[in-house]
Amino acid sequence: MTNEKSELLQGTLDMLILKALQLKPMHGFGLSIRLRQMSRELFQVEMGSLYPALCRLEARGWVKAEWGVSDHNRKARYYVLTPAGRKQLQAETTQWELLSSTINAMLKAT
Amino acid sequence: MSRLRQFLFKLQPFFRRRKIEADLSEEMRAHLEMQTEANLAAGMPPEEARYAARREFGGIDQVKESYRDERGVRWLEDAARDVCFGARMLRKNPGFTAVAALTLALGIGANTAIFSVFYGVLLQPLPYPEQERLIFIHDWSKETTFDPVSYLNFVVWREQQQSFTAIGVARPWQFSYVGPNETERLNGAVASYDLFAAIGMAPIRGRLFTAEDDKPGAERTVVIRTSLWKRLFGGRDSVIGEKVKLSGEFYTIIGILPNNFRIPLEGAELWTPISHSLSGEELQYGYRPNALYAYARLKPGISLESAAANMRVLAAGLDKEHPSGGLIPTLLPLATAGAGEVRPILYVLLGAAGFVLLIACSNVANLQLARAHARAREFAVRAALGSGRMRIARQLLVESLILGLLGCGAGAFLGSWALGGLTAMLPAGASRMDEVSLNLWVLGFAVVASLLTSVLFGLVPAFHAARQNVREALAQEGRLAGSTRGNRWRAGLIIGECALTCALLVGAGLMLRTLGNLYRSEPGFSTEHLLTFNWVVRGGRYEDPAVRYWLIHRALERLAAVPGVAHVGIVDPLPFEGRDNRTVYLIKGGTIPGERGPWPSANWGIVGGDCLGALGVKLMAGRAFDARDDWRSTRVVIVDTQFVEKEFRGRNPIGQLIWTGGEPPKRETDWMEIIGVVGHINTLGPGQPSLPQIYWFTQQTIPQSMGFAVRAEGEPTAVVSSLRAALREVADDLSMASVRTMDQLFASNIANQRLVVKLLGAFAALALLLAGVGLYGVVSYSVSQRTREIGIRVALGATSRSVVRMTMQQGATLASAGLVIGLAAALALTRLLQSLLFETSPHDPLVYGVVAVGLLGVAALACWLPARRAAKVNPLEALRAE
Repeated sequence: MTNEKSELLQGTLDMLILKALQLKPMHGFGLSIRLRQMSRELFQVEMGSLYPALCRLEARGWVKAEWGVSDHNRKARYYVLTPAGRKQLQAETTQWELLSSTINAMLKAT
Repeated sequence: MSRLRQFLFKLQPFFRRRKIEADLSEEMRAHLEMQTEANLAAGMPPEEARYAARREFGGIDQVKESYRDERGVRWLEDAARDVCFGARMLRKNPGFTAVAALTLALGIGANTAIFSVFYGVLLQPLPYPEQERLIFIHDWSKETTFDPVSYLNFVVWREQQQSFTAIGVARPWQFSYVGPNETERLNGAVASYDLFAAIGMAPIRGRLFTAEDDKPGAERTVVIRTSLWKRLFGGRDSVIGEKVKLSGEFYTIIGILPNNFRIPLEGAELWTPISHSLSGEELQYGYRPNALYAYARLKPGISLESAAANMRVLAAGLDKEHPSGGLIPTLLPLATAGAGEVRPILYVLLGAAGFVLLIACSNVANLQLARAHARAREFAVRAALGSGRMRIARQLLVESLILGLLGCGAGAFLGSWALGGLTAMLPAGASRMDEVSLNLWVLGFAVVASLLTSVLFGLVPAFHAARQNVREALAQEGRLAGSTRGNRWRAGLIIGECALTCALLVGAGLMLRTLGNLYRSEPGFSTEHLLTFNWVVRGGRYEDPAVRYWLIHRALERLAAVPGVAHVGIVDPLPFEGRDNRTVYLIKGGTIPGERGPWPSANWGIVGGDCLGALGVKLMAGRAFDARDDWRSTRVVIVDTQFVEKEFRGRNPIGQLIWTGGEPPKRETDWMEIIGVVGHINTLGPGQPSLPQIYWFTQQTIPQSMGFAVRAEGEPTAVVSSLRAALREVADDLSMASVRTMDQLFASNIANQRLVVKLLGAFAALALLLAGVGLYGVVSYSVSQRTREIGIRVALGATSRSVVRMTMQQGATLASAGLVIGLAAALALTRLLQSLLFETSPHDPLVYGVVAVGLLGVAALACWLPARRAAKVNPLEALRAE
């Protein structure tokens, strides 16, 4: 993946992570599975992108990280969506919908 | 807000690195294990499950690294790492660090000390409102470049000028005050009523002078400074309106000024209106009383130049009406006017200190270069491992910055220590000296200077290291890598150092010559065994000239009878005291000067008693003053040889009539007869220009303040107490003041030159030492580089002499190149010293010659030490070391 492309996708990845965390807190591994599921096995996130993205979101205060215990009784770092993160997700979703519908309309135009 | 939050989050790694790293590893491990478990659950064999998990995850270190990139502030972390590494490198080489930091500290310390004085005296704003509009005015004529202002001329200026909101005059004045315990002398000033308005000062209590206060015959009033108010009156508010007895007269205290009012001099504590102090002679046009200067405030929007032009026109008109020797008022900004004589000294010293700093810098740069060279392999390895060139250069710059800051700390310390000695050496009279201190501006200067120098001496090695060829450096194993480029840099720096040192040495040499010439200069009188003091006879019954006449007569008689005293005379102003009185004059039967150019000027003095004997001055013609001359007889004068030369070439001056003052005398009997001619003495001090002299007689003029010159038979200070006792017998309410030997007066006169000699000499010596060390370093470094080459030469039959010659030649070439450049630079730069030189040409061949020989001598010594080592190279060892 070239650099420019990853930058282009960065914002999108952040949004998708927030979306994945909307239902319940998750650890990194869980997130990678969930993201794949959400994309119907089409989108494979790289760990070199996932973890920095989580760090970025934490820095902005949209998610909070805390140590917890997994279903299999394993110590894992869970990421929780904060109220600020919820608001951000809403804003980004609206914006994305507007953008994609506009672009779709433009692409369909004859 | 969220920005700040983000930044704080990113700063965490600085303080909790271990915790964050541990968390990160733990998280990665958990991730991998969960993936492995998932793979196992999917039915993979354990071994494969683990591999698959790893494969899917990707490189753990890469993931961690990209996480760290996100987590921290990259440049800050790099900088922190550079600083830590740099500090470690410097700690590992304590010798290098100490030498480099000490070298810088010397340079920065010298600069900090000089800059403190420079700032305090020249840059620091005055404590008066809108100080940039304040102007100081003195008079200028063809014969005298710095003259006081004439009071009557000033009155005309005040009426006719259009450039100032206010203009006032002031002159220092001493008052005697009879306190509860003893009689105290108070330093103060007499001032025209508008001085305070010109400066823009308001009283903190009471009021200041009005025009009414400054009229002859008005009730006497005085304004005092807070310090005096506190000291004498305990800070009582009720002091306003009280009467205080000063020099025998009662004055009403009307106002109190803040302590930062320092016009016309630092220590002034009280001011009285000038009109009470002006005597008959002083109320003449063109008559310039001692130390009377004008202070003015420019109207808004008027420039100094236009005000000066306006004043010149005004003065030219005035000179036609009342001839005054072609005086031209000269306007200076008040902020820097007081610095006067000190200003060129400070410029020279600041420049010299700058030179020393440059030399220190290039020495450190040279050390860094040599060290960078020794570290070539380290850099090459780092470059091979992917360190960018900029990164390596940055590393070196950071090391330099650390060194620079070390130097700065030590330098500021050295500077503050040196400052104490420096302020003690500077002429005490120099204005604003008490405001000199190590303040924030100065410390800021030291920090900026050290940062600049670190960049200066760090850039060359950094630049050099960044351009290194990795493969070459590695292949050569850092052993031979004497790249010519590095050598060229070093040679250039050494040449520069020698040139700067040479210029400093020439400057110091010229000042030394000047000092020698001043000591040898002939003042026209003999200075040995001579004691001087002032005696002021003013106020009360002493206002009566007849009382003073007998008092002076008795005092001279009594003092001459003191054992151990050879001659006693009155000379006012005393030679070398730094005062002179100037006047225009007219000779009867001569051309009326007003018609052909400006009126001639001369100094005048009042003499009495056996002043010829006391000063050891010869009577050339005519007679001396004697009992025949008193206030009833015709006024007579004595002139000096310089006066005769100027006015009576070849004619007999005795019996000629002259008049001092701007207008011809009103009565024919007012003309004064010249009765004698004496040798010329240099009144203002060695090296100062002096004017022709006219002397009046104490028993005719009967002054109120006079200087005594006492020639003792032995040590002059031994007779002081008996002189004091004798004077008290004559008048117990008067005391002698400013008791000094002529040697002390002489020393204070040449204090400036001595200071410059000392400091320039110290700077030049420091520069010479640094340059010598630098040259030594470069030559010995090149010897160690060329050990193998020298070994081969010796093996092939070179004698040790030829090896020494070869090595020394290298140093000699550098030193002579520097010398040539330095001498050329000195030829141009020493013109700036001109105003400080006395009977010494700025191109004095002797000085240049001695400097050239001296510099080459030191260079030879610096090269000879490593050359001797080169000559001892054992070819077998040198070759085996391969």
